[in-house]
Amino acid sequence: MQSNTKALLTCFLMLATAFAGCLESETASDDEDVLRIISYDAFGISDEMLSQFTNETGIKIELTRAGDAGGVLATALQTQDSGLYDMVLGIDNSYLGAALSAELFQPLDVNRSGLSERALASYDGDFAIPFDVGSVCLNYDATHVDGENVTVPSSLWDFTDENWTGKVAVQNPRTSSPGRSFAIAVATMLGEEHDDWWSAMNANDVIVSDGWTEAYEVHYSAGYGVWNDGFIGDAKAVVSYCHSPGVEAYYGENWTTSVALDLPGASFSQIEYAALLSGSKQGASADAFVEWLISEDINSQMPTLNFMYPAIEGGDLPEDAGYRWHSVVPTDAVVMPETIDAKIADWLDAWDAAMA
Amino acid sequence: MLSLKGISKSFDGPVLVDFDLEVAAGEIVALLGPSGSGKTTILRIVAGLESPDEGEVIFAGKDITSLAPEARGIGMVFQRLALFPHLDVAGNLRFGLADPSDEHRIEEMLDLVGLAGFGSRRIETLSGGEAQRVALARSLIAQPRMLLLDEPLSSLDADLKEHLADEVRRILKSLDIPAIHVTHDPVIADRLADRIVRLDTAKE
Amino acid sequence: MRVRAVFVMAWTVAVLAPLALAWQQLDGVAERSIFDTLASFEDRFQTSGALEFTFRVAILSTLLTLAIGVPLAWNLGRHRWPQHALLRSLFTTPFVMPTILVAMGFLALLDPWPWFRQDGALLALLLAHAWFNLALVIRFCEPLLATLDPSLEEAARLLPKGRTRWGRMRHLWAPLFAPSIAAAGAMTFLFSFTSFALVRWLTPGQRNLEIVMANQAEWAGIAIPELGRAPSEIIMAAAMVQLLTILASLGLISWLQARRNLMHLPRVEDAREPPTTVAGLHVIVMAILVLSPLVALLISSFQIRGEWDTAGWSAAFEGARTGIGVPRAMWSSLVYAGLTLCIAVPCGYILADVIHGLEKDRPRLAMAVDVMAMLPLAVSAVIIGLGVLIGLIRTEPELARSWWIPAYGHILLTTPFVVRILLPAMREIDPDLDAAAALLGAGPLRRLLRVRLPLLRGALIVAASFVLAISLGEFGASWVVVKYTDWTTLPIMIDELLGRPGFDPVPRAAAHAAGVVLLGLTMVLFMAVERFRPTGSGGEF
Repeated sequence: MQSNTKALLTCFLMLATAFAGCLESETASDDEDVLRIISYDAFGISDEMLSQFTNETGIKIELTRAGDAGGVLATALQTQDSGLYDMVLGIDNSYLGAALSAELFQPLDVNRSGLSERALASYDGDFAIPFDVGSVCLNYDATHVDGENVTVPSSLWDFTDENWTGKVAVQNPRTSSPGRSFAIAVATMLGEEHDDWWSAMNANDVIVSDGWTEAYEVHYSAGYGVWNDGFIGDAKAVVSYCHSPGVEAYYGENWTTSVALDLPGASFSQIEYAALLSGSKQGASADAFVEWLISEDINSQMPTLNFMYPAIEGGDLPEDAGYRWHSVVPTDAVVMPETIDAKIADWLDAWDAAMA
Repeated sequence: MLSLKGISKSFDGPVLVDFDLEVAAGEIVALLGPSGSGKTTILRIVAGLESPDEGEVIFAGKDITSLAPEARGIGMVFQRLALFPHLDVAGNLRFGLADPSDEHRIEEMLDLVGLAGFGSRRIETLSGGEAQRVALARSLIAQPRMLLLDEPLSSLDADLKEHLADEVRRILKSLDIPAIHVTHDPVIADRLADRIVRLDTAKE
Repeated sequence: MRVRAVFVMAWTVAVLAPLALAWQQLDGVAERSIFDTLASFEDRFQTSGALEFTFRVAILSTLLTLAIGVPLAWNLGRHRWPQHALLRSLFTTPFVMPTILVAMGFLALLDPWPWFRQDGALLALLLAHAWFNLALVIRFCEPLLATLDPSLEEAARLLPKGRTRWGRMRHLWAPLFAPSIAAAGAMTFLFSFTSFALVRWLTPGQRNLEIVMANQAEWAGIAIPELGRAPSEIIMAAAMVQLLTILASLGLISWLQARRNLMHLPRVEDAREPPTTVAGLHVIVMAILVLSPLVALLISSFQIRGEWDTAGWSAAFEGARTGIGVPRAMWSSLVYAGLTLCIAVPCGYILADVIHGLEKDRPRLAMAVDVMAMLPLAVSAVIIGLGVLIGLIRTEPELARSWWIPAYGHILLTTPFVVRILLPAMREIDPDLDAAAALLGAGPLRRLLRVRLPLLRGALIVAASFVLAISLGEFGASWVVVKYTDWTTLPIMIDELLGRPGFDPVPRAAAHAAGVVLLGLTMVLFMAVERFRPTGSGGEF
């Protein structure tokens, strides 16, 4: 009998604690100055920094991580006009067209004059403010490219020959943001032939993963994945960012065998935006947050927080440990959000069919 | 037929000390005694399910003391009957058939124990007396050279007990199978057996 | 009686409402029929090979699990081992381990043999599944083995068909245990069929139906046709295949368990024999194998870039990268687990009681309620999460932020286990006891508290341990929903740490460290509670 009473008591205690927690978050939601943001998982700004923001401005931030850029957009679409969220972080220029067509956003009142040309290249307006940039391109392992049998590829079609059989890793464009960016670049660069190229890559045993992590960590031979359990290392080239070799060097004491492929047109300049959702009443707080985000102080830290280039004019990667030296700023494919929005469904369907 | 010589066995203390027994061919012997007197142990030693600490078991002229129970040709009806629940009555009896072509013997044996037509009955639908008889039939169909009965009638009511005791005796005699019957009930012991051996605690 | 009927209705609504809402949303965006979508599965990258792979993995996993598990259950149940209760719970613990951690553990374990990452990846997956589902075979078979009346075997030995070991195996043991083994096999099939984390990490190039659905989930139901059409169609098709297959398995399990109960197996308190050397070696080897992934995970949490380093542990506890540290996440996990326990066990009890009450007079209805009780296990976590979301957002957006929403998923997923555990125990209670108590003047509540619950003590304890352990490690349904709240549980924290690009090696080590904490917590809770279970009870799960 005694153990039964104890069990009941424990149950009560747990329920009580849980209810106490309920009260805690009730008061939080009654607070006026709360900014609710849908962000992508890898967003690198720590809670410490966000607390600093709160201390300075009195605005509390509630960050919900919703997957990758696609997940952010999907969540925003699912909750459109419900007032559940105020802002989005991380919708990139490959999704921006769809977001604008769906009339997801309200204009922000933020001074854009300090932003770089590169950051404003895809979209220069009030509905979305860029906060970081990066080019998605192929990286390759320099130990595989020995200059004699295997030369540095000078065309995408080089990857379809026997030197690269089963040695290239790409990501599924429907489930991965870099994968999507790369597919867009390929479609823009190769035009009508792009599905032929994909078919040829499929015939050449290209490795396709659902996410960047799997392609880079598990398959890529020149990445940090070599230290991880479960490493395979069968890919000598992978779709990642053109500054990924720099990040490798930064954490690897200025040493890496990974090189970014500087092939004009075979890369996509991915720009990530912050935007205010229509239906939100927190316009003023949102403005304050975005201004904080693109301030010199915070934005110049993007390379180490988010592994992306800053969006502000004059912002660059740090020189420490070869971060800047190993990174490449390529000549990207030029394609506007409206074009992407119009053609992406066909491009993705063509990819699906070519890779089946 | 069967000779037990100098059997001793202890578990947490002596259960059997220097026990002797003789069973002649065709004879039915009852072992009578209170619980704890070691009667079930004697049966289990004869069957080979336990080994004696000391002593010999001679069966049909051969020393079978260390022979496995499977090889002894001795059958046993257990106190809890141990009917196989996943088989029906016929299936249980079939377990006792070495040769599949002897199927007809199942019906014969059921007739013999008075359960004609019970072949497809499920075990859990049998009454106490019926289950007894199925257990008996199952052991007999295997044509044992000797049958051991471990208080098989103890859970039945008085009328049935006596009736079945007579039945069992009749069947055993008609098949000319010697048997040892363990019980604590002197009346039943008397009805079933030719000879009664009394066991007091740990002695003979 | 009316109250109970209402309760079953409420449960059905709680389970079906999210599904119905999700289905409605998906249907609004999809254009092609399920049949057409399935027919074109092989034409699209997103789905090609998924059906074949899913079934292949499920079937092979079941076979391997039974092949490994049945001999182990045999040896475990036949002999009296020192620390028998501990051993038993050791072998059952894998089942309640969070799958993401199992994946990490196996990766760490198999790291020295790169073959397992390429040609041997499928075998690695099958082994992981066998490791995981071993518990089911043990659960279903061992208690019976330990308490089956030894007279059955002795009787068999003295009869012609049972004279040889092989004869006994074929004519006695196999038929007696076939229903239990089949039920364990069916449940293994079910869990292998819906495996997610293990497939994702151990066989990275391959997709099963669950992964296909998870991949498409992001865009499912979105009203913008270019974005939402194909994903919605794919999810509907995949979900339908999954649902039908699992319902069939659940029906089979329910039928097998009921059939097993028609056989009145004679039981004794303790039928175990003294241990033998060979059996002992087998058990020891298996125990080491079962512990090895967990040990591998522990070791890897202390390694950063190949060097011994405790930075992972300090980062995990300080919460430098995730905002909250292990202690707070652990506390949240425990609170949710406790809350789930308080609700899932009574829910499961009522459902089991209803089923048991219906069994004699209306067996078909009983089976229907049984399947309904198990339904949450049949449905992809993705669908449950999606439905909860859509339903809440449409009607009451603020509700989506409630702290108890993740518990909804936990409760849905743990209650079926409670039912599966309590039902066989209820069947074994002698109905005369209840009648006797009633005749002595005890009212329903008193009978419940003084007669039924004490008799069900063993099964209730087992159920409680399962609910706690599963809730602690639960990932699938929660992650869709917990994003909308401030509360983080340990598994979510681990997922976040693993989700970032790993250029900086510390978060990964921190994830491993948090994983070890979660594993340790789960093991301790589970095994501590398990020790109170008497030898043969809780026997059919």
